[in-house]
Amino acid sequence: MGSATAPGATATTGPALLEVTDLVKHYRIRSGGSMAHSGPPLRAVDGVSFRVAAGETLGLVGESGGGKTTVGLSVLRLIRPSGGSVTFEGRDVLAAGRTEMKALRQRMQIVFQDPIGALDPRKSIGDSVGEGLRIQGLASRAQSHQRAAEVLDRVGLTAAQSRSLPHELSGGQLQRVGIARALALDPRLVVCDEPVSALDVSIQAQIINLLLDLQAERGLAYLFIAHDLALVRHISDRVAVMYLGRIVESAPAGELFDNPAHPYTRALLSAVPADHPAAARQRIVLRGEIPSATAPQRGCPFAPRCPDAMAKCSEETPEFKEIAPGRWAACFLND
Amino acid sequence: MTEPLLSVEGLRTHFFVDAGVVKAVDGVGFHIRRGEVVGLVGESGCGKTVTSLSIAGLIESPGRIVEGSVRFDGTELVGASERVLNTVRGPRIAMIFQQPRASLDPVMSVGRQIGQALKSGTGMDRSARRRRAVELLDRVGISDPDRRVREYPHQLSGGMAQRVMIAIALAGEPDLLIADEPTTALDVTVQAQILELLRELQSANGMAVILITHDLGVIAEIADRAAVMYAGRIVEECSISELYDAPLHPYTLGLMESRPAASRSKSRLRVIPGSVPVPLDLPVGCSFAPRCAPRVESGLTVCTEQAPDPVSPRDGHHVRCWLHG
Amino acid sequence: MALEGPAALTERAASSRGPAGSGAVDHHRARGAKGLWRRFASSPVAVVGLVLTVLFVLVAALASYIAPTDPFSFAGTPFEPPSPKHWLGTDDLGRDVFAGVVHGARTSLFVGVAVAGASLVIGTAVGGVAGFAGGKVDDLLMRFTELSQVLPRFFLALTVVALFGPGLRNMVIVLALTSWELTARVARSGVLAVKELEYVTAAEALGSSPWRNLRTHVLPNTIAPVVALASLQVGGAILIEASLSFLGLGDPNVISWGYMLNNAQSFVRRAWWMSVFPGLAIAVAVLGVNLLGDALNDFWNPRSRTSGAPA
Repeated sequence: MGSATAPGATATTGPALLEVTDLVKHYRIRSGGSMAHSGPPLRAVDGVSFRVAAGETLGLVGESGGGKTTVGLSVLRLIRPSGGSVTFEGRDVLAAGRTEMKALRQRMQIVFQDPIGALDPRKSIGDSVGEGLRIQGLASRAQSHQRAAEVLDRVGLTAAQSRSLPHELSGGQLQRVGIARALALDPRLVVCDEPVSALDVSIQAQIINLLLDLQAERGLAYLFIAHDLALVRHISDRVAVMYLGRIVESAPAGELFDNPAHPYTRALLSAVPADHPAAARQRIVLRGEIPSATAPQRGCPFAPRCPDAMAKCSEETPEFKEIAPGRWAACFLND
Repeated sequence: MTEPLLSVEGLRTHFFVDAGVVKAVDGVGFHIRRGEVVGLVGESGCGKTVTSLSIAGLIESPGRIVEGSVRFDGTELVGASERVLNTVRGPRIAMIFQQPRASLDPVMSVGRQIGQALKSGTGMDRSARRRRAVELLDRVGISDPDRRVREYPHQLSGGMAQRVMIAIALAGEPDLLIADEPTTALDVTVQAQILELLRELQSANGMAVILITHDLGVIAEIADRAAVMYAGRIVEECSISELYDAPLHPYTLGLMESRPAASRSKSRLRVIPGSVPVPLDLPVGCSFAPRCAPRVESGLTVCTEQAPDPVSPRDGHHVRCWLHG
Repeated sequence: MALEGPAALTERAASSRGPAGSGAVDHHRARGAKGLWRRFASSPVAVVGLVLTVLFVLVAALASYIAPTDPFSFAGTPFEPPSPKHWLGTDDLGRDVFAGVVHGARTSLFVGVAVAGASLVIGTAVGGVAGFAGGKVDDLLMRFTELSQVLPRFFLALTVVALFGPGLRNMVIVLALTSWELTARVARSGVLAVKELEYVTAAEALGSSPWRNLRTHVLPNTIAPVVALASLQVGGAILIEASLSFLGLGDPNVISWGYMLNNAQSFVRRAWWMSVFPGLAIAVAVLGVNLLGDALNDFWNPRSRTSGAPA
């Protein structure tokens, strides 16, 4: 789908804050030696389109190797996509010059999965949180520390903790720091890449609440990347399901979970462990695992594992199209 | 009632480090009957992995079992000689782990690794072992086992490697399988496959399973009973249906309620305040008291003074909590 | 394997994010500098190295106070054996051997530190840029590094001194230009590992330029093993300086242990003290800095042992 009708457009009223069209990221795999000799490319992201409105949460789910993280990093131009376009607040992110990009970075931020790995072990918490303000020339060192203390206070940490080094805090506290760092620049969009999956169960809920509160206060938009479906359902307005570098289905969260349209979504949902031992469920156990994204493919990428595959599925690739207002899917079963 | 297959009593495993004594496991007791699946649930640092390593006699310096007993089918394992342990660990108590690929030897073929497990115990010769390895791979649902048996760990996907680990564990036809977060590193569709496999093997072989996990959903899928651990102790132990329908300990309740529910999208979740205590610096009294909202409401003061002993308000339902004692 | 490989199991237990493991480690690390010092001090080798190195540096720094006599002045009669007046005796021209040994420490320390410092700076710059930039720049710089690595430093130094005349400065320049390759390799591999870490990406997301990222996040987190490696080169440089001076290619205007040994050659039987004391000084100084360097290396980079220490 080329132009103005990016999927999910109808589900939101406001203009898109972020619009991603036909995003592609191929990796050339160097096979041995330093001289460039490349095999088939790894198609980490293979034509992904979506939009996120201001103040909205788009959940991006799927299994590992599906390309979720690559999408998140590409949106922020932390890796260079091979094709497609990313438009944020009407500006072309991929074509932005150095100065424009630096300015854009104030408006779009990221929170990582591994709270300890996302913080420089040698820098104090306050230093890390205030770093963005200093880079952007918005504050002197002293001012940035003042501002960092305010943001840390907002995420539930004390002024004393701002002088700590990362290893002195717990995982949950560190993730609060990661969120504070992203917030310090007062962004409009935050990419949350598995922000709670490294945390203990009792801590996850605290962080999710914090993210919800901040969204309500500041009108933040989230691109929420996760593999935990219950969590994604809880926090998202809309959800997009990725499989092998493509979005196979997107819909408002409730509809997608209650009435999935794509067989992969159905399988994914049925694989989620029961939330009660008595919840007898019809389980669709998929054969095999996600294949490598380097294998040349024809037809629907999910066809080899699909319990409902038809002859046509291994011949033609189904188009990702609107099957009902606000609901998009790439599957012949919906024709 | 017949004697349980495994009974752990008053187990204390402490780690003696420079900074002090880490009481990783501090008074754990439970029983497992033959063919029973018990889930050991808890967050990181609660002592669930150390408990399982203590059972298998795999605690190494600076750790030590300072007290308690682990009886497996009539044999005391605490303080047993390495020779006795070797007759039990492996053939009769097998283990699988979270990172299957890290537990496999990267330079040895899958067939040889299974063969090694067969060597200790059975008197099979080489070709018999190879045939049995193929059978076992087939048994754990690996397609084309004749080819896979010659492959090396790096050629396997995560789910496949976990299946191989299970095949190795099954080699001795164990009475007890200890599975430590066996599906945590796997994708959800693969997790479903592995849980299905474990359930099927368990009922076919009548093997008992200790499933260690932080994921209550996994427990709901597969366990008969559950033991919830917090700060080195089992705070609640009961049947799986009681765990879900009538949990007694405030910590268990907190874990249950903090899960996102479909009906309350975008609303704040219930949370357990605070964080898991550092095992070096456990609070006096009940370890959960500082995070316990019901304690504050009830106005109990004993919680911060004395650690509660397990009580059984219902048959087969044990809980360590002053609110019920 | 899972069954009969308790080693594998316990290894996992040790590395697991489980209770004892993480709690203990976190707490240990939380002690910061004090904990680091304790870990360091727990190795006797490290302590011996540190004590000898401190001694060496003190002697060099306080040479004029310890031995006020000018090492080139004729302080006594020739070939005086050790005595209360001349603790280590005098040489063939009546110069005080003690003063020579003490002042020679300055020369050795200067050469060692200058060469190691230069190796640190050049190696970090080349390796850091190569690792951080990657691609063609990396290929080019690393080929260049390999080229410099095949140059035999001792004979190169010999040639330069023979061509341009003996002089401490020439020697230091030649040694510095030939001792940075290994430092560059270690710096590069460190940078390669660190630049992929999320905190570097996070800084980029905040608008940090690549150059700023390299300076503020990548290098400070890779420098420790590079410094440890460079410290190992102090000893090597001292030995080469002594060897060249021993061969008569040292700076004749600067007292050094190698120069003293060269001078002592003809009098080994007549005046043993002329050769024994400078020789001991070299041995002790090199042993000290090497032990310290080894300890630092183990401390920061446990894998360095297998990659081989520099000469």
